[in-house]
Amino acid sequence: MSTRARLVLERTLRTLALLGVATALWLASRPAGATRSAPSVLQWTAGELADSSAAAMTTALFREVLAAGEDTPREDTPREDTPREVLLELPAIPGQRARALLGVANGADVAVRWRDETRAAGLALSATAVAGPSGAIDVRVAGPRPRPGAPNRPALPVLLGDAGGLLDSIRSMPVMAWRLASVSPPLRATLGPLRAATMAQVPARLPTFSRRAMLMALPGWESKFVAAALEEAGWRVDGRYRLSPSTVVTVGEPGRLDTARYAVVVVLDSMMVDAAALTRFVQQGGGLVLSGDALRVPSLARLSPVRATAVRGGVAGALLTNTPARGLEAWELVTNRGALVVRSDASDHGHPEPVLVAQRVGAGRVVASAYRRSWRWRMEGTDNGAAEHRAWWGSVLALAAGVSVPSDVPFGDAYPGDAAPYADLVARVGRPDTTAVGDSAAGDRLSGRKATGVTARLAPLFERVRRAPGVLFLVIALSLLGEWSSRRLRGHR
Amino acid sequence: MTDRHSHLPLSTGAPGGDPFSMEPFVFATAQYASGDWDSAPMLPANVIDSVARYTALPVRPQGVSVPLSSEAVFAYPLLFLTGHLPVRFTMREAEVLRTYLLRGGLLFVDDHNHDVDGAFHQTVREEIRRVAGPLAPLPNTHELYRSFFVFENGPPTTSHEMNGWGDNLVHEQLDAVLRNGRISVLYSSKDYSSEWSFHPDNKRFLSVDNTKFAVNLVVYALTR
Repeated sequence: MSTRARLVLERTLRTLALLGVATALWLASRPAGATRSAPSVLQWTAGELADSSAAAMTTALFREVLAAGEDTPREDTPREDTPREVLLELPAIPGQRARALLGVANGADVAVRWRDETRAAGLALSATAVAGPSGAIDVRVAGPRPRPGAPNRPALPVLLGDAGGLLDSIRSMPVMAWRLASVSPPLRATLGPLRAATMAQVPARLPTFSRRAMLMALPGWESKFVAAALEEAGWRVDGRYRLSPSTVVTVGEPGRLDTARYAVVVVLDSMMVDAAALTRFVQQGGGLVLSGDALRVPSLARLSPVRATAVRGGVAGALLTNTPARGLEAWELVTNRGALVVRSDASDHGHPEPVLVAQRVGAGRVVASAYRRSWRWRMEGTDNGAAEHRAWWGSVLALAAGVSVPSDVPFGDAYPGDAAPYADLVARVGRPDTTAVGDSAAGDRLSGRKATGVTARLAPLFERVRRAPGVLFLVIALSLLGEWSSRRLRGHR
Repeated sequence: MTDRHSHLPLSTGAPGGDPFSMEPFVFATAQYASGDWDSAPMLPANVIDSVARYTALPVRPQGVSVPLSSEAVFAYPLLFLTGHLPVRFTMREAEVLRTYLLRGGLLFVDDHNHDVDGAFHQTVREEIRRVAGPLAPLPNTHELYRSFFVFENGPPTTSHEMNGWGDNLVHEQLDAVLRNGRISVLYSSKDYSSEWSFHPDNKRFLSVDNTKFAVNLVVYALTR
């Protein structure tokens, strides 16, 4: 290398070291987080979002909106670098996480405005299997809401149909609901005239399950009232009750135990069980409920998600309080590894006592219920006891059958969620803006993915350096070492 | 009448015997303020004897008498009520009984007079209508008649009917109030109170045990 080149290299390295020192001094003189870009407006256009995905927007939103707030958890006033406004052109309704994030931002003094580029006219469709033996399907459609100030026009028709054809038609409303006895997927909802119809579709196969349960128990008040509760809830219950060592009385039409016939087997207290058949039933996808003394049947121990250790007495008089379950005797349960505690009761031991535990076994589920003599809840409880007893057993069987329990919260009392994503977004951040995002009167506008200006471009680099000061030290040290070595090799000090 | 037995293989129980404290069946007689609720004192022991004799159900050796005005009746989902005299439930008794039936209890009422024009028959049916709704004939094909023993012709005839006592009628069927497909109130004019009110030891003198229908009633109550 020529002497001239070496001189250039040495000066470059010295300059780099000085720049490093200067950067370190500059960073040290600024408060944390001040190196971030300070956009007042975050903007995504439809093209940008179409190119990437809603996940990118979610990540950027989280970084720009929430992470900035995390740096200053104790400050009441928002940071200056937190964007004041988020402008979106949405080619599709973002996912639940992104919608929730936008909702949070909207509630944190960040104005979220969005322009509807979905061409979906706000139509959203959901289909949920009712957690009960009726096998019905709740269908909900969220239609476009009339905009304030817009001229009154006749509502467009919404057509609901499935693979079998048209099911119903109705004038569009913000919320429409059906309960269908059966559906041949896919389920479709269309809005508007046929040629320009907006369509929502549920392609997935809707879950269905058998409406029958098999009850295995000794005859007694527990078996009687459990069967009554389940039948009142719409289950068809078959039962086998052992009345003597050689006598079994049947209820309903008990048949061969298989998953095509039964969704759930309920064992209350009986030792009259064929453990091998039950194991096969569960492995093949059936549900098994072990309740009360059934948790102590030795042949079922391998299936049980818990180990029942001792009986805990009921609290006297609790059946007539608002915590009636505490008035019932229950087994104290030790949960197996991998089992899920679904419900616990308060206890006098200072820790909650699990009373409902579930575990997946093969393709099926096993649910353990700790209560003994739950019939007393119904007969000796309050006037709501029968309904509560029915609801309890309904939820236990729904859990074992592997279907979700529908929320008691009415549709309009909470965010619609994925049941109606468009309506959910509107509920969280408001109606879409009619003006173009580019026409916004906001000041310095920055794209969430495309920053402008030198400071903004270098902001990520500064941020990384601030978070890893060792890198800066290493750069300075290596530069000085390189310059010194070069000079020494030239014979200079 | 034939015995109905279904045979299933029994699985092994816990070593060392039955570890469960299965709650025993308790035969409960309803005590009411009017009339003579205790007119068949031997009946509970006889029914208990039959249940213990024919089934493996755990049963408490003594029955109990429960005031109909007390919420203690809720602990006994099968109640027996009989008498000769006019019955008028108090407001409290009617309220408790209505709640009892709504929650799923079963009330078995038997006319100890065996007389369709009798005071008990007329008044208690009015009270039942007031509390639970009108009684209707129960078909003789009802599962009550097959819940343990099989009674092809419906309720078994009593010796009092055969001897022409009371109203000199053989009642072909029982009456009932059904709720959700289950018997809520079962009413009999056949005078089982007299038929079953004898010491259980005397069953050995009978060619056919006339208390078998009581077993059906108890098994029905426990399983349906």
